[in-house]
Amino acid sequence: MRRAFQQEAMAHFDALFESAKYMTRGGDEAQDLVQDTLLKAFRFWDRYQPGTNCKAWLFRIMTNTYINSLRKRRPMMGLLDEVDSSEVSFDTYGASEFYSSPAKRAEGRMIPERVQRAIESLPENYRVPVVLADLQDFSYKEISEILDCPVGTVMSRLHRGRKQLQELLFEHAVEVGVIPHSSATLEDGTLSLDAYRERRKAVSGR
Amino acid sequence: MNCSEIQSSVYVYLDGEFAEPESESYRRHLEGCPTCRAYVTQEASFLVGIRESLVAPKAPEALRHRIEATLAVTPLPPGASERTGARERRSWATWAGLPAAAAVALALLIVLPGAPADAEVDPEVTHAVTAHHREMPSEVAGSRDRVREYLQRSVSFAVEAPLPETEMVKLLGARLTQVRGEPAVVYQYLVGNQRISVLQASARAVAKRKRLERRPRRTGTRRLVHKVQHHEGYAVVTYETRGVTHAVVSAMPEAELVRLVPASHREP
Repeated sequence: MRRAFQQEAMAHFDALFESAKYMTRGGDEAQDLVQDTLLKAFRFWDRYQPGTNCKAWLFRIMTNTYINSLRKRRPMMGLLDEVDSSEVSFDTYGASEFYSSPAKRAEGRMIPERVQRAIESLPENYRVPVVLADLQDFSYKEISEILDCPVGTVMSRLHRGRKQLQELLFEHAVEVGVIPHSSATLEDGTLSLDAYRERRKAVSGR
Repeated sequence: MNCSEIQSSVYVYLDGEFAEPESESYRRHLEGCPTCRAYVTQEASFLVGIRESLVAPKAPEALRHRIEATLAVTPLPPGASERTGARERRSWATWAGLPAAAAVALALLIVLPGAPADAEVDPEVTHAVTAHHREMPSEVAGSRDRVREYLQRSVSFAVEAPLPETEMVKLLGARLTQVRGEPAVVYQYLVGNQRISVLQASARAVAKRKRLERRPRRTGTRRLVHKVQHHEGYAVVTYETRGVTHAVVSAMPEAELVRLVPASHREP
């Protein structure tokens, strides 16, 4: 059994760690989370069906462990109940900060640290699905199993999470050319998130 | 599908999560609608941009070693032997057959905390300090009985939580570990607002090791008295009771720490 665990479960150690790092917002907690996850997985290894999706099984244990640790810290705020309309601060991601570090500009590519910070600033109920989908490439069905929620919930959280990410990273994405400059400028040539949003609203009829 | 539906399901489309009929009708709409086409193209480049910028932080090898070392001394879950044959049993018999990698990991675990241990300091002391300093999470928590039941499956000595619980002294939990290849236990307590770790190891194993190291044996009376050793800035109190060596470590002042030693083992 020890060998089977070593081969099947420990193989996902790196993936668990990198996701834990994003989930826990880059703190040292990631190490404890991964350790707790693997120790739990070992203890419940008899419940794992050989040949099934071991990675998804481990991620389920990890997200549960993480959510439980959050609940312990903030008993009134669970992952599922957390308000969907949570406010996102734009302060740290303003244009001024970007323009003050021209050396960091890279054409056609967003700066990893900024993307990481933006992901870390998402509330848990968006952050976790985004990490599972965009970092680990899990399918909606796998994510729904990991988070123990309907596929429809995965879709809406992923949608809102990515939209929020886009708002946080909007100016940066335009600046490096990931979002075309033309679709985001006013007539006087200045960048406008409002203009971008207006355009989106006009198109979607909302 | 109308424009609003197209845009609200853009990620479902980009993630390739639509069934074929929906996917087909989505594509048909895009062919005839330049606005949505532009919208989806922009969303796609954003998503690709995000994914390309997600750098995977490197997982620390020390963590892997630490987990493997802990796993090596964690008892197999019930029923595990049935699935993998009768040879593996939930006992320390498996210890002898550990993979070499795990054994190396264990050696690393013991050596890791920085500078080589002071020759005068017992390995129980260095180990207790490491466990305390790193605040390693508990494997088992709950009542004294539950903790004992869990630990007793894996250690050869009679397990008994070392400190009596009071209003002030709370048992947070315990984890299995080992000192020089022998099973040991680290308990975590909260005394007031101070964290205390207590390591228990078989005194017989300690004695055996000391004979191997050709150290002079202690007299019967002396070994019953506590001893204070210093390591990595921590004061550690050690004492023996009923064949079990204890190492008590905390950031609290030495005098207070000594008061946690059972009165019968305190230096007069």
